[in-house]
Amino acid sequence: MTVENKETKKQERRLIEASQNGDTKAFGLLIRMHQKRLFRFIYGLLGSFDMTEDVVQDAFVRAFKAIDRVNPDYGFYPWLSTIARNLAYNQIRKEEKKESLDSLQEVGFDPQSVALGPMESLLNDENKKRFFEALQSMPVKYRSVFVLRHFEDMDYAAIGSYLKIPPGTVDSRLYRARKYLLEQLKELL
Amino acid sequence: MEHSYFIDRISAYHDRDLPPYELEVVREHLESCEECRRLLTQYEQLDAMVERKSRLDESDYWEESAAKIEQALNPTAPKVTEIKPTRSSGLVWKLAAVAASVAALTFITLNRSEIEESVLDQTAPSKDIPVRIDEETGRTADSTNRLFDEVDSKSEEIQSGDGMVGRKADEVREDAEEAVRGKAQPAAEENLAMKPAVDIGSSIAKSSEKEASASDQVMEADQVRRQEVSADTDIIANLKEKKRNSGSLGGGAVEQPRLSAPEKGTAEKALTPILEAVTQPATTKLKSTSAAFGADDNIAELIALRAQRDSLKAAITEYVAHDIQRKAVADTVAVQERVADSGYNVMLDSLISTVYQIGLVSSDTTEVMESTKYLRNFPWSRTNEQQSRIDKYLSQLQLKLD
Repeated sequence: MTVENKETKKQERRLIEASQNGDTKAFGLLIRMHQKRLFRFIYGLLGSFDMTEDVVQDAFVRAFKAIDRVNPDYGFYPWLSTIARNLAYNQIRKEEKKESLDSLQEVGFDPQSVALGPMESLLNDENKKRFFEALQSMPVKYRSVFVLRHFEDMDYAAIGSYLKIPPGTVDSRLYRARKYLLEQLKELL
Repeated sequence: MEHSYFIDRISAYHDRDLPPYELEVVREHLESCEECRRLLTQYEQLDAMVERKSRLDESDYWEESAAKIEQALNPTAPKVTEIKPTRSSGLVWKLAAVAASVAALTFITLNRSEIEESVLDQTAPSKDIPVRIDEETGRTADSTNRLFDEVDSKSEEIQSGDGMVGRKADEVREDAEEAVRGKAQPAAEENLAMKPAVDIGSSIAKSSEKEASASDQVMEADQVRRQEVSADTDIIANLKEKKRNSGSLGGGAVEQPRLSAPEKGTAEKALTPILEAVTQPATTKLKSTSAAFGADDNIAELIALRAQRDSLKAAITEYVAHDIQRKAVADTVAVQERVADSGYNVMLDSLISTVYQIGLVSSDTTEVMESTKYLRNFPWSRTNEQQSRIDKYLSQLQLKLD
């Protein structure tokens, strides 16, 4: 483990313990340490700035209310991202009930049709915008596997168990997602 | 087996998420199939691209969003906006001290970088730093500029002299110490409340042992943070006023400082631990290793560079922790920008250069690869320019590895 990782973990541990004693300022620091990473992950899943904002806020509020359950030895982010991921999937299911989001996006598959909206203000580089447009243009089922693998570093078994799909399906979806992104973004490699 | 079977498997092979027997079969196939090897390379490039391009940028949005979440945690809590001018926290001087150590460190390796850079026909990274700050931001703390200017001119003097290229690392280090000690002292006598500088010096030296509680820091920071903002702003105004009055660096009449003046020699005392933190371990190690390695200059320099790299990593970690705390309360944007421009970027520039130079100097392939890996997965937020420098260095190191 690198020096900075050790230091960060040590600091995070103290912040978790202080938060467990009701210190909202310590929790404020935890928010600032993790919000960008969490936002990127949830936006990757949902593809909507507004929904992401709501889910991230909700996740932090729930995390604070249940902070006693966090084991400081395991760190804060894995627990926080599990809360947020569940909230995000509730959101996806709601959307899918309204209309078949999955099938609609399956037809889409076109980065030109994606509007990043307020997300653009968090991306100062045209190539970053292109990356997120290409990512968002993928159907949810491919995108989610890709995001869980690349943003959250989950292995195939963990992704499969979470999404309730066999590891072989994780493999094939990830393969398709990568193939698609390589075609779309080959000049950025 | 069909080629198409392998095309499907490369993605999972890349993630090492195949059963052992299949991993072996794919590995064997890769040895004989150029198309599959190319695909594997593309997946590796895609990983790196995703890492680079998915990083969200700095924006006011994050602070606003965090404040909104905090408000949602405790909707009845009043918002903190009051700023009371009282004692100085010395943040500016902490940064100046860190910058001074970076300047000294940069100087230590300047000699070597000149040689390497001339071979590679590119600008010396260490030497870029002071110039870049001046040209690009123009907002760096006066004292920091002074130290860099002095170290820079000292390095030019030495380079123009005879035998510079052949000088040993120890001699260069001694000069750097002397340059920074000698030049920092007048600056300190003008303005410095040096205790913070001593603190940061010790913290660099002992960062791995540092036990200051983050939650304690939060509580303490809460009490002094708002005081810091106006006090630091006052110091800057005071500095600017002094510079106008004196007309030149370190020259002219010294106005009675608004803050209590430190004792004579305080600056030297304060800077010594910083320099020792870097040079002493390197020198001590050098003595024991030089016998084993035949007093090779490369080894001496490598040891110094490694010590420099580790000190910088520790200093950046500390800086970021401090910065996060500052941002926890609604600080003024001006103070945040000034802080971001001075300490952090200078340390980052120096760390990037140091890691790169370790890669250049080391004859150990593993160490070169470690430097490459560190730069590829560089863990700190950086500017686009710093990223392109990293990319350039990566390609140079790759050439060496090839």
